[in-house]
Order: sequence, then structure tokens, then C-alpha cells
Amino acid sequence: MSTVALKEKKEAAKKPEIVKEITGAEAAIESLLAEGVDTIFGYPGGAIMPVYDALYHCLDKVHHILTRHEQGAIHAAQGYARTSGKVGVVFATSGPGATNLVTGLADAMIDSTPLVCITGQVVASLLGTDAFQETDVINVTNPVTKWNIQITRAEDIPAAIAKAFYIAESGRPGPVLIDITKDAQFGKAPYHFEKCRQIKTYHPKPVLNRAEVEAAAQLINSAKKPYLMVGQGVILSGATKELKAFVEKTGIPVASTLLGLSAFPSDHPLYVGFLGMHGNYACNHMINQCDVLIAVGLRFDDRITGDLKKYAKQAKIVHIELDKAEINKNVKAEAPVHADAKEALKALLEKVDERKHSAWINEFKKLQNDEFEKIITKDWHPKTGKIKMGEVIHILSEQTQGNAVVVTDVGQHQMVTSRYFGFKHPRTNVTSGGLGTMGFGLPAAMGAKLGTPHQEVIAVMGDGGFQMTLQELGTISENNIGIKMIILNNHFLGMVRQWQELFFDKRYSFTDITGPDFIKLADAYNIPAQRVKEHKDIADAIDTMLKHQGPFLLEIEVEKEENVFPMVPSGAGVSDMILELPK
Amino acid sequence: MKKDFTLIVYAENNFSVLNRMINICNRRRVRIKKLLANELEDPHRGEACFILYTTEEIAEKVQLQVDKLIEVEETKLYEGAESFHKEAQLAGVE
Repeated sequence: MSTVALKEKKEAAKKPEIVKEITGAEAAIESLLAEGVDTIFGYPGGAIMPVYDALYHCLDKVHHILTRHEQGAIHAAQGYARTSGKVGVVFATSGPGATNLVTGLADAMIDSTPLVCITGQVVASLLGTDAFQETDVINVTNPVTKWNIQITRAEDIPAAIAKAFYIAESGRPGPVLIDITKDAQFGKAPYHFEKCRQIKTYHPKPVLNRAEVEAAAQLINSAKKPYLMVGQGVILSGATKELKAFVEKTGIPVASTLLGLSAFPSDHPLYVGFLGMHGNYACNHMINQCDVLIAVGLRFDDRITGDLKKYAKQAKIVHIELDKAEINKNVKAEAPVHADAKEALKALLEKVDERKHSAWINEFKKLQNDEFEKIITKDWHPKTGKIKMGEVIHILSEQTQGNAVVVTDVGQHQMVTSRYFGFKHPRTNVTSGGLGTMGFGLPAAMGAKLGTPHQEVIAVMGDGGFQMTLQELGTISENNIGIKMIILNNHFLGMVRQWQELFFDKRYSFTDITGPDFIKLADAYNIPAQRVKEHKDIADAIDTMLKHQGPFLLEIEVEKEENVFPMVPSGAGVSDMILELPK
Repeated sequence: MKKDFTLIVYAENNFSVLNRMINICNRRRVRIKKLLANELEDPHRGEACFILYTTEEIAEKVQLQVDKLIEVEETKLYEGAESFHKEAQLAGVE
């Protein structure tokens, strides 16, 4: 390069970058594109019209899914985020549009799902005046967001969006909400986007403390009856390979929480089951038999522990957790490791001894056999009577060989699916864990399919939960989202009915629910559907459903008053888990 | 046993952060006996000082939860109300 050319280049570099002036709404869309967003779930309205107008010009770059309700949009974004590992993005208008997001925000907050929600707001001069469709969405969503912000100036939008993405997906992920006033959307400002890489007051990833790892390794190596429980933190940190290597080296039996399902292959010889109130019998009981309990990426939620006074009192506890506020929150840890699960497991792997714990693992076998004989075999192969939920899920699991994303709603079918579907691959289990949101399943499945279009996505729902968000059949039909929907129809709000039977002397107070003709309903949305009432027809119907290209609804009439066992009665300890009703 | 604790929080001066701190106390039904909030020399930073009436265990858990709020720079927890009154004097309130 000549001296003159070099000089010209240097001069050019000195000149300030010419930044174009665009509207706040355009800046919002440009910023989302800069963040790599390819899918947005939303519903337009008055206060977010400028953003939708800006979106209209970018439809070649981003896919917008118009749901039938804002709750559908946010659950879809959750499903998308959970399967793809990306941030789910939602648009909604002010007032009711924003408040309709609240359930999804709370769900995403408790289940650590990264979301960025953008809501429109009335013009800044009308804030606090009870203007049409004005809600104080910042205060409404404070307890259910990891962070939120209201923007009243166009120039603040790109930085807010960059910060929102960084916060949503870093550390323990969570939902973030940006509320943008309409005048900020219309206002013009020079556009400049810079990805957020750090925030002075926020430290999402703790530095691994080698002394904590050493203390944990010593406890693990000294254990005679070690027991490992894994939660969603393993999936979120991408630590499934490290987990498998750790388990295989140490020979420690491993159980999973509800959201941890799919972190470890359920057909692995060291996998001992699903923890929790309706989880497996042996794995719950043995919590009170182990001498060292290693918990990775979980928060000892009350559905896992039962009565804390009776939980693992004999065991020394190693708790590996990214969120410092979760350590010692519910269960006191002798060896806390405040760290990302992947980093901690990698470091521990070098320090733990290669072991086998055959005698200890054999102790699980008797209880596993009891559960198999008293419950599982009857659930899978009922000889008489109506179809059982377990039978359906067992066939589904066999036919898919665990190669599908399974999205569940909330209730009995959720517990049965978690017990009997053979999860093998990470991010294939999508369910509402902490919040237990009925109506989550159908929209979350839509999002899950859009997040992983190459995967088979199957929504398993009850008739109650399905009716909470069934309007999303419109979204599925309009966009030809090829999810498979299974409604296990017992004409009851089954889990509540079970509790009424067991603890309220069978007073079925408002749990007997009627539904529409689901086949006709699907037909109205141009979705093929089939109803099954006989045991002999289940396998063929599932096969037909799986072979169908595009969405398909399968309604299966199941036993009306089936109870899900085993169970830890409310307020009891994990050792009080019962296999059947006391005689 | 419940007693007074002083929780001092330094944070970025964002509209919702004080509400978030109060929400954490409210969720755990921790009584806020006194609250002092003021802007610092740098108007982008603020300080909130609480007297909480609760047990030591809960006070520590509240501190951890406040500490993880995005805008929070630093938290300090002291037994008793003395530290609160010192901060109030510094802020020219007492």
C-alpha cells in the first residue's frame, strides 16, 4: 500500500462513524436482528403498533408467529428457548397484552428460562394517568422477572435490548421485560448497537473455588453410599457429557428432578429414577439411606424434598449450584460448590476416585422391584378395564425410542410421562416445573417445534390443561406447525380429583369437567385427529400420528379415576412415600 | 429468635430496584421497621438502608437474594440497628 493510500486510510479511520437516524421501533427490530433473533412470538395492539410496523419491513429476516393469546406467545417462547437453547422473544401491547404475559414470566422465572419480552406502553406524558390500556407493567412484573426496564427515549432502545439479552441468557437464565413507551417507538435517534458483554454490578459466572472442589471431592471419595441427584442446571450449563463421565468414573447412582430429566440417559445402568412427589419409589426412599448426597444444578424444591425435617438427615451434602442464594436456602450443604455445573464437574472429575458401588446399588433393586410389580407392570399392561395413562406413554416411548421432544402440561399425565418416557437426549423434556402452569403444554410445544424443527415434538396433555389454551390450535393450523398432540382424556381435573379422593373423602368439588368433541374441534381447525377408546388401538393410532406429516391430534379416553402412585403425601417425608392406598 | 438487623444496599439508581428489595422482604414476610433510601453523590447510584426484624437465618437469606439483583453492587448485614442510625446521620436524616 502506498504512503498516500495509507494516509487516506488513517484519515478515514479518524472520522466519526456516520450513524443513521431511525425510529425507536426500527431500532428495536434492528437490535433484535443484531442479537441473532430469527423467531418472535407475539400479538399486536395499539401501544406496540410502531414496532409491528417496523417488523413488517423485515419479515424476510425474522419469522413472527401470531398466537391467539399473549399467554400462548410467552409459553411458545419458553418452549422455543428450552429446546433450542436460545433466548425466546415475545411482543405484546400495553395493559392487558402485558398482563397476559405474567403467568409465562412467573413460569420462566422459576424454571430459569431465558426470555426477552418487549411490551408497548402508552406515551410517556400519559404514564400514571390511568390512560387507556395503561398498566404499571414494571411494578406488576417486578417479582417475576430477572430484570425489567421502562424506556421513554428512542436512543436508549439498542442498549436496553443488548443488556436484556445478556441478562436473560447469562448466569442462571431468566425472563427480562422491556417496556417501551409509544413516543419512544416513534421518536428518532442515531442507531448504534453494541453487544453487551458485562455489567458492572452483575457477576453471572462465579470463579470456581478450588478449595470448595477439593472439599467436595474428599467427601465423595470417602463415601460408602454416595448418591447423585441432577437438576436442570446440568442441561443449562451444557454439562451432560461431563455428568456422564463423572457418573461412570465414580460409579455413583444418579436420579433426576423433574426439570433435570433428559440430562442423563434414562436407560443407563446407573440411572435409578425420577425424584419427587410422584417420582420413583426407590430413588426417593434411598435419599434417606445414602451417606453423601451430591446435588448438581438444582434448588431442593419442596416437591423433591417433602418434609425438610425428614430429608437426608443422615447424609453429608455436596451442593453444586450457580445461584448462590440457592445454596443453604432449603437444605444445608456440608460442601457447597458455588459454580457452573460444567466447570465444577470437570474439575471434580480429575479429583474423584474410580469406584464401583455394586452392593449399594443393589440396595435400590428391591425397592425398584416392588414398584415394578405393584405399579409399573399394571400401568403398562392393564389386563382389564379402561386404558391407563402409563400404558400410552410406555407405547409412545417404545415407538419413538426416546427420540422425540416431549412437552407436557401439568397434572397426572405430566407425572406419568415423566415416569415412563425414556428420555435420552438433553433438552427433550419440556414441562412447567416450578409454577405448575396448566395450559403450558400446547403453546410450549409449538415453540419447541419451531426451536428444533428437525425433531419430532409431542405434546402430552390432559383434557383440563388442553382446554386452557386450546385456542392455539389456530396458530398451529395457520403455520402448519407439525406437532403431535395427545390428549389423555379422563374427563376430570385428574390430580386435584386424586387428592380429593385421598385427602378430602372423595368430595369431588368442581373437578368433574366436560369438554368439547376434540375431534370436531381439531377438524374445525383443519387438523387431522383420531380418538382411541380400546387398548388394542393405541399402538396403531400412535404409529399413524407419528407417520403423519404436519400437526395431528390424538385423543385417548383413559380410566376416569386412575390414581398416580407412588406418592409422597403432602407434608410427609420422602421415606413416607406410598406405593398404594393404605388398606 | 427474631431481632433487629441492618441491611445496607448500594445499587444503581434504577426505578424498580428499591421495589425489588422490598418485594424480597415482603415475600418472606420480613418486617421492615425502618427504611432510608437516598441518592449518592453520583446520581446514578443510590443507597438503601433497612432495619429488618427477623431471625438471623432469614436475614442472611434476604441479603443473598438482594445481592443477586442485577443493579445491586454491594450489601452489608449487621446485627442491631446501630449501623442504620449511623447511616441516617451521614445522610443528614438524624
